Amino acid sequence: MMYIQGIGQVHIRQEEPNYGQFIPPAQLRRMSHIMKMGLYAGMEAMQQSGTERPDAIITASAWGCTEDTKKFIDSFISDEHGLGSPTPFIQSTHNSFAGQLAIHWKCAGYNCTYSQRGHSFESALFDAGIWLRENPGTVLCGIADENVFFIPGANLSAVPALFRGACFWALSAEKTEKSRGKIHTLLFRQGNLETFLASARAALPAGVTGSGSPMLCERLEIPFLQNSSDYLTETMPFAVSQWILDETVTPGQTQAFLEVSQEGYYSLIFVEKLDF
Amino acid sequence: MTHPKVFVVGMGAISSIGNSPEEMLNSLIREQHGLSPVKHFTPNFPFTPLVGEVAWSNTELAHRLQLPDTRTYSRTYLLGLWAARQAIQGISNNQLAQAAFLSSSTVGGMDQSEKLFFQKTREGREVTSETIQGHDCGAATEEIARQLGINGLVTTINTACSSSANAIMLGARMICAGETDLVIAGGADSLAEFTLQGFRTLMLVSESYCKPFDAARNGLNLGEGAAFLVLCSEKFLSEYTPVAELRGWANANDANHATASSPEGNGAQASIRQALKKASLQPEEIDYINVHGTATENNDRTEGAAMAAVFSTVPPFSSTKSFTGHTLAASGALEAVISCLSLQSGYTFASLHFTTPMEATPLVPIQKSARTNPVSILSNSFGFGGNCSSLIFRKI
Repeated sequence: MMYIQGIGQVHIRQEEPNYGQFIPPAQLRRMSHIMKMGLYAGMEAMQQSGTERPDAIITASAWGCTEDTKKFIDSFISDEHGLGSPTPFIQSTHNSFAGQLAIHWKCAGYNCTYSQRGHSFESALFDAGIWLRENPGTVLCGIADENVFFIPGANLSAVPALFRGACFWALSAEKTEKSRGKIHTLLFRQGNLETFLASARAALPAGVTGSGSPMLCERLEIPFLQNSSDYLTETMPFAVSQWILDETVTPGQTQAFLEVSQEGYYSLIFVEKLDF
Repeated sequence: MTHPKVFVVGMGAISSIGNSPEEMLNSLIREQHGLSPVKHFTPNFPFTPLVGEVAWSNTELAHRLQLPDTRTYSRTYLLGLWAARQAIQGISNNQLAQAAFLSSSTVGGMDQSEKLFFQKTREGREVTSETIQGHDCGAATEEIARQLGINGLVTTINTACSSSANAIMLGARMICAGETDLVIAGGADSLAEFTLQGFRTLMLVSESYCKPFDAARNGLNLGEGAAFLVLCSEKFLSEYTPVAELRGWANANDANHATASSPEGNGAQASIRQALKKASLQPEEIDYINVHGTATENNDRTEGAAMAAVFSTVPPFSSTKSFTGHTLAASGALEAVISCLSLQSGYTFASLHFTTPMEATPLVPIQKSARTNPVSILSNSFGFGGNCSSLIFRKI
């Protein structure tokens, strides 16, 4: 059982946040978009949680830091044999924002980063769930992705559209007055739909409503929630976050977020909204 | 507090010193390293870098794996599939279907993506987006899992150079948490010009053979490879013969700098201490350390400082990166396999090209591969982003 204590988001379709709120301008200038988004969303989630610092940091990125990857590969094409700057190479690693977040809070605890296509965030959340069973404390768990590719004429839109933006949750095993949501179930599987459906059926209580994938709702024989809000069709962490923050959703309500994030990538997260 | 037991019941590996754990053991005992001038591509480099390259080309690998030649495959996928297939030999299909597959990579399909990029930029050729499907780190994992017939949880870790140690650690944690009884965990990384150039701009690529823990060390040799362990709970112990027990694990963050470790090696100290605690072992019970030992100035100095801080007498240690090169995401799993080979064979392995101890922490690594019959082995893996992971393996 996990409780969402704070939510930080950078939504690609909304106005960019004021990154300067959390990040000093000198650092901000050197940062790639993904780094800014990741740091901002992570710090926002922690601030909301009212906890000074996380005890573990678990992040995800399906594509990693593609802007710096492009910057670096361009630099060694244009700068043959020269000693170009190593900075974009250093910042090109998927775990660069997890590392920066650790430095920010001097968080010496568990630190891990996942990259599994449409299940990157789910993987991080799964690890957070195990960590919270092993340890007391707060886990900062989130995803950031950008969309830059280094081959001219080719880009990431050639592959299934995954996630763009950043979404972080501060998570705890204990319910407090800050708790915004309770994650009852997390399940994700690739490839075998029947295996996924069998596990999902076993995990879901009677009377739930589903959103996201009409196909999965139909196969699970649960009512597909018709809602005027279009956020329910967004990628999972955004959909859950916005559902929790939606004032028209009353505390105590539950929702099964079902997603086919790309071909063969099935996921279920069953969440209860809490009164905060 | 003791945790449920986790056993290693299968291993697969490929690197420049062998296409199987057995071949690697042979090279390690005979002190034959796998470093040579890069052969499969021509990086635009001021010198010809020595690398730990797997001898087979992609075509040969695909052929040996009996893959259809109708498409191109990333080298990370080919190396990973080779090692994973070896690891699961003897595991029943039914149990495999239930298993989790936890892989890791830093470059993913970069070898293919950069090839397309260079065709376009250096040769002015038109490119198609055909292989971009395999660029990301999760692509190879997904396909290997499908090839192995795995229906359980499948994911990929990328914590730079500590990645596969973290995949193995996640496997152990999943077993202890009761999430699964069987895990295939490890990682794969191919050589790429991208990473070679990256370490060059950091001025960390040695122009000669790397000299771990030597006063005159001047950087690393990159390598490539893949390695997977099959881990299981006590439940399956009657069915499979254990190679070793995975007794301890820990992950801590140095929280100091994006690439450089703190002078005291705080993250490394924490991961070693926490792994010992997890294993319920005292520092003096460690018989051999397979160090991270990249032979960069910063790593060896700070790892040495961390070892000196944790151990009143530093146990015999070596960096087998002097044989394989630094295989990045694969290194943790490759060195986990080497640790298990050490427990099985009784051999501990030499650290090559060492002559003079470092000034700050004058530690002398193992000079000769010899039978010393270790019982408990610590394996360290550290990475960019301050990631520090330690694993402890124990003889059955």
